[in-house]
Amino acid sequence: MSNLTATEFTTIADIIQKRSGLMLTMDKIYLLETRLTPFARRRGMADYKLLLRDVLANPNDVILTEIIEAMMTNETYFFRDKAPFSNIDEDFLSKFRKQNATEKKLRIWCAACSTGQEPYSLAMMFNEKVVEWQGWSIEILATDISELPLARARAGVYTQFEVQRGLPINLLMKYFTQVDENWKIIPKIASAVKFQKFNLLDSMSGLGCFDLILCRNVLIYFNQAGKIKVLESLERQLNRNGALVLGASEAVFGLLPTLQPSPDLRGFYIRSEPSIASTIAA
Amino acid sequence: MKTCLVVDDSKVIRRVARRILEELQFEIDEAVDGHDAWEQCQSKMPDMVLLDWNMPVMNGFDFLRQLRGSDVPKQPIVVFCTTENDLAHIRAAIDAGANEYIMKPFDREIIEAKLSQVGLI
Repeated sequence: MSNLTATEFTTIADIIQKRSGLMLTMDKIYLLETRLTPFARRRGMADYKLLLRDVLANPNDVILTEIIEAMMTNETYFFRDKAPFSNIDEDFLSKFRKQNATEKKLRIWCAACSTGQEPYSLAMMFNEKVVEWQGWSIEILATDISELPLARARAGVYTQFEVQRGLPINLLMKYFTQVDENWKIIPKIASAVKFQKFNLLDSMSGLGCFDLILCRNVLIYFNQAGKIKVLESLERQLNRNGALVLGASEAVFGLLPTLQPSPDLRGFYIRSEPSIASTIAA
Repeated sequence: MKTCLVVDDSKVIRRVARRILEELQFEIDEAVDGHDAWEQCQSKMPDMVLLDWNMPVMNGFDFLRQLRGSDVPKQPIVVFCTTENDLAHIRAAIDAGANEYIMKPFDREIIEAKLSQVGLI
């Protein structure tokens, strides 16, 4: 089977980018091969090139969606990078709790949750401080563009390898039950998170406003235009005194005009003005 | 440089653990069972013990109880590293004073994550 032509590659890369934001350059052609070959074989085709040529000749929404899902990077683990969680817990939320002591409402959005370790880490974090959060309404919304990782997130079942990446052993003992070789999150934590399929390129207004949005290590896969579009949308969904948390190494200099980078907390961007969305709603 | 005593009756496991821990800037000593480990701790206490459970002469659990019951001036961090992967064993180990627990098989990523949990890296 001959290699993909530059035109074929550009066409498929454009489709993937328009539908998901994922930027695919020619040097990443190996990603098409490694991620789409298993999918092509499941559909009875010898390799990924046949699959792509077939979908280009006969565009099919279902297959395109599955191709895009297969191209996504679902790397995540419990309490990933550690520092953002301690910063959320010890700094941001302790201030937030004082500032909003009357209303006692907190909305959090994990904007690309993959298999669910990030929102479940937050739910465990809240449960560890159950006395401080008594009487509060805490909503954790977790979204992802791909159905397959979301199904795993909803099931809340993780391998031995997955629970050993970032999860302290005392939390494993407290919040998981053993199911054969795997570990299942307990209903109390599972029920604290609402999972929903969502594409970051779609309108976010239906999701409402949030006090904390985590969108870590996602925008690195977007081109500049896609990054700006998503960041502008995320800004609109943030409440006053709310924070957007990005990956520590994600460069967004000048892209967040209404959010201030926190001087102390790396990757945190704080809104000091009322949100645009809530202003419009009022 | 921090020191780690790798306690395992398997030469292969000791070698793999040594390689990973040396890459993480640890100075390594090895012991073949709990008794050997206890003797080495009395002459030179490491910062950390990476401890197998099932070993001849003295198993890891008995070593841990002896260590935690002793009046050594500075207790090391103890991380179990074992094929005993059920909740009952994990609970027993933590109750006996283990700081963390690694379920075999392990790789560098898991060791690194667990050492980060206990503040050693």
